[in-house]
Amino acid sequence: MPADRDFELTWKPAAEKAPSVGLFREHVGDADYLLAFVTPPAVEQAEQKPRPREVIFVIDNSGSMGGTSIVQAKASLTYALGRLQPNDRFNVIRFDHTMDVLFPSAVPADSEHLGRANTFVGALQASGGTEMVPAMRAALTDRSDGDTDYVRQVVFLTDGAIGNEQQLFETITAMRGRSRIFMVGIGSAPNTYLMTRAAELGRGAFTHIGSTDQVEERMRSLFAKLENPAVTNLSAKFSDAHADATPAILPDLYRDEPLVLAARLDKLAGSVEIKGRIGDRPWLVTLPLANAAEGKGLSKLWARRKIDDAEVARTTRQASPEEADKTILALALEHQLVTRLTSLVAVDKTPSRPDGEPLKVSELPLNLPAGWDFAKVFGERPQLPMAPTERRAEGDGRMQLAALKRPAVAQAPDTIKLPKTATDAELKMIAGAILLALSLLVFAFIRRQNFAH
Amino acid sequence: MPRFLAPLLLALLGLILFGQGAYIHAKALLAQVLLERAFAETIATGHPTKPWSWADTWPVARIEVKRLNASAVVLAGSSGQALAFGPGHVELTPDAGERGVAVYSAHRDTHFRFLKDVVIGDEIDVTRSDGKTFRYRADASSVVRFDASGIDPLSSRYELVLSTCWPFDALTSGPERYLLHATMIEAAPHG
Repeated sequence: MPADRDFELTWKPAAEKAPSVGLFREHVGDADYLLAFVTPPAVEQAEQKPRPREVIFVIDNSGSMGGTSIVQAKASLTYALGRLQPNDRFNVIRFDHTMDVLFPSAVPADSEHLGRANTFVGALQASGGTEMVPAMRAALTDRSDGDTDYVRQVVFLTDGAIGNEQQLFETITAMRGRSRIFMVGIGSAPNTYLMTRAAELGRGAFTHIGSTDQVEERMRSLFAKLENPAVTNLSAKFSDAHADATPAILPDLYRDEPLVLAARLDKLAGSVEIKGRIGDRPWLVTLPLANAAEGKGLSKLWARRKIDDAEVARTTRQASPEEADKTILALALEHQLVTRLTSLVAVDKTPSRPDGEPLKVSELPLNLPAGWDFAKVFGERPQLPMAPTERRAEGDGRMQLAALKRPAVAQAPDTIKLPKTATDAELKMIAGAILLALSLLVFAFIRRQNFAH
Repeated sequence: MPRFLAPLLLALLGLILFGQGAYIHAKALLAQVLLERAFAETIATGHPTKPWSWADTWPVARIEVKRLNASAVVLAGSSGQALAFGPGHVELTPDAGERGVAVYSAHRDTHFRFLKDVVIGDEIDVTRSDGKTFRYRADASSVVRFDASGIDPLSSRYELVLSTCWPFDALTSGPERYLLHATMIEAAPHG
């Protein structure tokens, strides 16, 4: 098969009663890198009845959701309401620059309440501005006062078109409590940073729904998660070593989903303690670091994650762009990674063209992604590049990491579509003036007739 | 009296229509005042500032043509909602002052009404939200279809395109757009 498509590697962990933990280490430079791999236990459904849930749905009906986005969001929410179990509780919040909470507090998911919720959702229309913070605050207000039998989940459907992201993150950090936040990104280009970060802070997950066809499939897999939290309240502690771990806040583990924790350690000593709750029982495992198996590429994995964190910090303005770029560049150069700021450049040390043979241009066969049609993608045949000038490879021939000055621009279409830029103001004003004049004429006509009589 | 009812209704309808049209212009004018304020704050603080608390967008630049005494504060994004208040920075095009073609779009009857008076050789200043000002010189104009603008935002030159609906004095909207092309001449801090 030609190399013209992505492949997806899927695997399932062997079923075990308790979460299994893998520990790997790698020594690079003057630091040790550790990778902890926690697979949640495959709890048998019959044995462990899922805890009832309290689900708060928040739907964005601001103007930016207009068009297909609001249709997708409404379809997603309707699907979600249909998945609730009779012993669950729920509430619905809608917001633009104003906000409505459907029920004063969460209500049982019986047919009467579900009926009212479906009517409420069905009537939503996209208009107005976006004020996300009050809606998030309302969703995170937990009125159950320690009634911890319910797993509290917030499902937030939005395109994330807001400017005050930082304020939203602060709200989540301050108020998240025991709630878990699940962001559902709607539309073809939702604000992914906002969603990912909000879900991370809220120890939930981010699901992207890009088209109406995806609603059912994506919502089904999100709900499979929501209904089956395997391990909650996870935390990791290193006894001796000073560790720089990522992710900083450990998310809950769901069925068939491993937790991957990467850390850079100053010394390979002591142990790491991973703590959590399986269902309603506490779970704890202590792993001596010395027992870690030798692994490869862990430093790169750790660095890649730290780079992602820095990119997020840059977008959310927790770090200035210069500061974040400096961190990214340092990590990329140290660990030889391709990032927004760096590329790999290969220099061939052993030219195969004999001296004196002229350079010539020829086309090399290149695989297009499967399903693409060359003519449709590129139009007519591409122009041949200009004849190359004589040039010899220099340097030591090893892979070199070059720091580029200009970051790559995000993918852009070949041509820009221009928005509609005419209002009907003048048309309306002229029509209005004509009608006014006409009414005056009729009025004058009637008066004259009155005088005539 | 019922014979007066018809002209009264007619007058009312006329007033409503006239009012709707005037409202569009009033909104466009008032928004620019609030946007000026928010943009000044953005430059001072370095953070995007919303012009009013429930806004869906925020100011990103100011376009000025000194010769015509025209100026407008540009908003992020070019959705119909944003364009009611000010010119929009078209998505997926670079910022002014960056390599490539920065495209700004606005209504021909409100914020870009001055575009028809811009002639080749006029200087256009664009101030970004970081306070830097870039000067462009208008060097061409063209009329294109909205979906065949021919603009490659990743071109290697430093260019600016201001776009609005064409023809300028038509009453209904059509598929044609007027483009004013300009090339950067200096990035001097002034103004």
